[in-house]
Amino acid sequence: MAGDPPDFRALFEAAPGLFLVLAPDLRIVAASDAYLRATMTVREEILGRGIFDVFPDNPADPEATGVRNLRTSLERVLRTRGPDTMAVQKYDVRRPAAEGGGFEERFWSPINSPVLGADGEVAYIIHRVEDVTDFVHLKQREHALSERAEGLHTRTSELEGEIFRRAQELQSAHRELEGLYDRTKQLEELKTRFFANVSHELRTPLTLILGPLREMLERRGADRLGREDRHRLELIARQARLLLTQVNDLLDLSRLDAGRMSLSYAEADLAALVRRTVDAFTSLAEGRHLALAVEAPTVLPAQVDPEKVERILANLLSNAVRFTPEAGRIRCRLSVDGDRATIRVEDSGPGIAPDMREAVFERFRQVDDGAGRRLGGTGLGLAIAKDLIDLHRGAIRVEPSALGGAAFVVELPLRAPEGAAVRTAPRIDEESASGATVGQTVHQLYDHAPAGDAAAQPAAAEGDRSRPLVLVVDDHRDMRSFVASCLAPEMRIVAAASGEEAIAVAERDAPDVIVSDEMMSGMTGEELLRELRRRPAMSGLPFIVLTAKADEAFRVRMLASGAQDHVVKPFVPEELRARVANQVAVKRTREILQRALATQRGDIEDLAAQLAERRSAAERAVAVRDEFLATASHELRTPLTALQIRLQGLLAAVGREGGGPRIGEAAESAMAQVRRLDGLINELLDVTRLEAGPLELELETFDIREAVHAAIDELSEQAERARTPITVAGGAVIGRWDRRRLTRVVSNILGNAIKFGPGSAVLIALERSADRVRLEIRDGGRGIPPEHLPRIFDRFVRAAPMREYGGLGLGLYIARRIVEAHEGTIAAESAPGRGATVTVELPLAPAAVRWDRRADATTAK
Amino acid sequence: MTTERCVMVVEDDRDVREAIAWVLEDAGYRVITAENGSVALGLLRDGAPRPSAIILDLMMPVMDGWQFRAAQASDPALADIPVICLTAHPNAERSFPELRPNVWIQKPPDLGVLLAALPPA
Repeated sequence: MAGDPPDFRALFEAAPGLFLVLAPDLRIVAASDAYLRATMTVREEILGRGIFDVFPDNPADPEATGVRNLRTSLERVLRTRGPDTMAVQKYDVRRPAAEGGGFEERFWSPINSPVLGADGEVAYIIHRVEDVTDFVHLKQREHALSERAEGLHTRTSELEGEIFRRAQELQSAHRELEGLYDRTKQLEELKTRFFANVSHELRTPLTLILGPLREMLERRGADRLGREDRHRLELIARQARLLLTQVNDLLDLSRLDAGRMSLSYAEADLAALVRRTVDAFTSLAEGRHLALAVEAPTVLPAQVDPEKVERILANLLSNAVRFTPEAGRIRCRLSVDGDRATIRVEDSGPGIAPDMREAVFERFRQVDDGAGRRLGGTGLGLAIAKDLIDLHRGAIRVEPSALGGAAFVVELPLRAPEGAAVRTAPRIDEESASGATVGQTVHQLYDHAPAGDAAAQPAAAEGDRSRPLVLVVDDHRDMRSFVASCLAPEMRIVAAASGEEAIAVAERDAPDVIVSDEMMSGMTGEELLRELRRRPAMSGLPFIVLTAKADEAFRVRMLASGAQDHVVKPFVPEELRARVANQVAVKRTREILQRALATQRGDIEDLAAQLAERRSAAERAVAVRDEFLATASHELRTPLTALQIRLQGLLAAVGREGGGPRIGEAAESAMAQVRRLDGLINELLDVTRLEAGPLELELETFDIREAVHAAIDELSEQAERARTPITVAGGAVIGRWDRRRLTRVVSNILGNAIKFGPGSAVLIALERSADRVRLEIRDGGRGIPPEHLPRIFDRFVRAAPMREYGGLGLGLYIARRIVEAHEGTIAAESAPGRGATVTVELPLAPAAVRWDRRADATTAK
Repeated sequence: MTTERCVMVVEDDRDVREAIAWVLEDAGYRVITAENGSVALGLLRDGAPRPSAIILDLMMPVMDGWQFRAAQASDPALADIPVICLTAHPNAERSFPELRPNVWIQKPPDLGVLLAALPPA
């Protein structure tokens, strides 16, 4: 007998706890005897059945939420592969018919833990329940016995109600948070997609602006251009090139984000490369009366990606040129220090405040001098430079310059890492490999960053005790103070330089959250986490781990072993702050609930405050979206503004004074491209906005024909070029809609009709029924292939090959979203070769606003 | 042209500034330019001719459009100069109602719309 394994099934079933084991599809696969007793069920009758099938909510209690909460928790376990503790639940357990039927009230505190299979997927979920019914009932009985039984009993049930209400609030806050995370993730994806699309599509019209312009400026006889005209054309070209640079920046970013940017090392003369790049800025600098100096050795052989290094330098130089006032100085110096090259680009501009010296390398981070004022510029250039330097395993920092402004200091290894392919004359030097991981590179970055100001130093754990206490663990001093500066002043900080110290500090100070680096000398973050989880007092202490992007597997392991959250380096301070605040909120809410259960005395305000905090986190996510849209919009539209104003001015001047038909023609065609760019930018911003939140309509009362004619006006040039006559049939239909967006709907559909059916007539028919309007746009074009019909209103789908026509394939998708926001429908029918008909049906007013129609009718004359 | 109308253009992007100045001068206005709110305030308080309108960008270094509006509102000598906010913000009118300019114009602006927003030259 001694060698035989014990009978695990018998042991499990006899275990004194309440256990239920579920398969991932939530079928019951095992249950302990205790569980069966508590639920008054029989094993044979529940095995193999779905848990919600066996334990439904009490249909007599419309407030019952136990099933929903349990489902949410189980789904969370399946998704996160981590255990999930539920708030105390009131369950109505079905009594077997033999015992009178009906439901019996139970108070349970359930925990759902995953059991992972060899493949890392959830194989089972153990649903463990602590039955606190007796406890609750005991309390009730005690009170019933007391002299003031009546009053106390009422109070007890009130408090219980309160506790359950708050437990529910906690659940809904949980859900809110989940939604928030999902949306943040979606936003990230959207951004990347947006960049890629915007970049590819905007480049075509830009090429079409730049090409003819260059031809006009450089062709023979160009000297016959008037000086004024030449000046104007050059300005247009400069703006278009600027826009092209921004677009390239966006494209690079999306490549870097997608991890598709890699280095192509070559044997290069870094000195010549630096001189060549600086030379390219000479005329720009002269134009601004800037003295531009370059200092470099005669020759400096290095293994780098020459194009990327040029890009880095160009970004730094253009920054310097942009921020240095006229008559200032810019200096670029290349030197060698051991196995690294140092490139300093410095200027006599306004410089960068000490607290912004890290932030300048964050993308879309406008330089802010602390009083809410902005220094303009994209910020993308520096972010890209930094990413490219990181790829080279180099480092960049900014410091004050002797010239009075900022000095950007780039350090690049002179040799490619071991194993990297190097074009021409490869000479592998075994000592050249640095073997640095991304995490170490990030460390290096902070190494070179100046130590923060006084406020950034980790403060002692004193001060207002209502502020959460965060324990920051990192063996790297500057990283510690950086994290501390991110969290101060909302939180109190204690710091530890090692895992061992962290445990001592945690035992002494009982922090609310631990933020720990993963890579530390001595005890690693993972070992620290295991050590903490072993101690009962700290088994539930929220633990946030700082990870490097490269180490995905490690990150997953940390989360599986009980870390609550992770933050990827390099991170934005707001992100870290939000994540820490979330963990604090969860922990404090849990503590309040526990206290309330133990003493039956709750602190409602405190909980309300926690919930308010979470809500503001959701608002912050929306703010991030809006700021992104505002920045993208600003960066893309500013060059367009100069371009459009110049072109229209030029056209007006040509009209007045004459300037040769060629200039007029070129300006007209450039104008059309500008309008197309503006349209594309609008389209992309609209889609980004559509997908990151509900569409808010701006309703007004008008005749739908106004929107139709506005759309026709917009497209008149295009229709004329395609020789497409447009006819509108039908009388006035007054309704309440969003005028601008409805115009978009018509112009998107009409634009398609013109594009795909040049030369054939388009008919727009309007027809009103009792409370709806039907808008039909019929063309005689090539039609839509039947296999595409079901999908043409999806995003990024188009009925013609990508390169054949411009546009993003978003037009019909946007139209659908707008129509749906108006509670209408959109549909298309088509026979190949015989044109297409798109039909939009709209209520005369969306139901949500119909009530105020009468009031409106009286005011709208 | 002693009675020509004067317009102030406050915009940090030099090319945009110059482009607007160029078309406005062509249209017969006298144009004063400033690269941020602070420079504009300095000019206005320092004896520059009083403009009959100000074309104001919002996102600018040193002193942005919001700060400029606040300063303008608190200076009785400047408070009633009409302001046209020219912005790339996708939804400025609803996002920043507190700015209350006389006219909102979205970048890139149509020249005709821009000229129509100004008092006649």
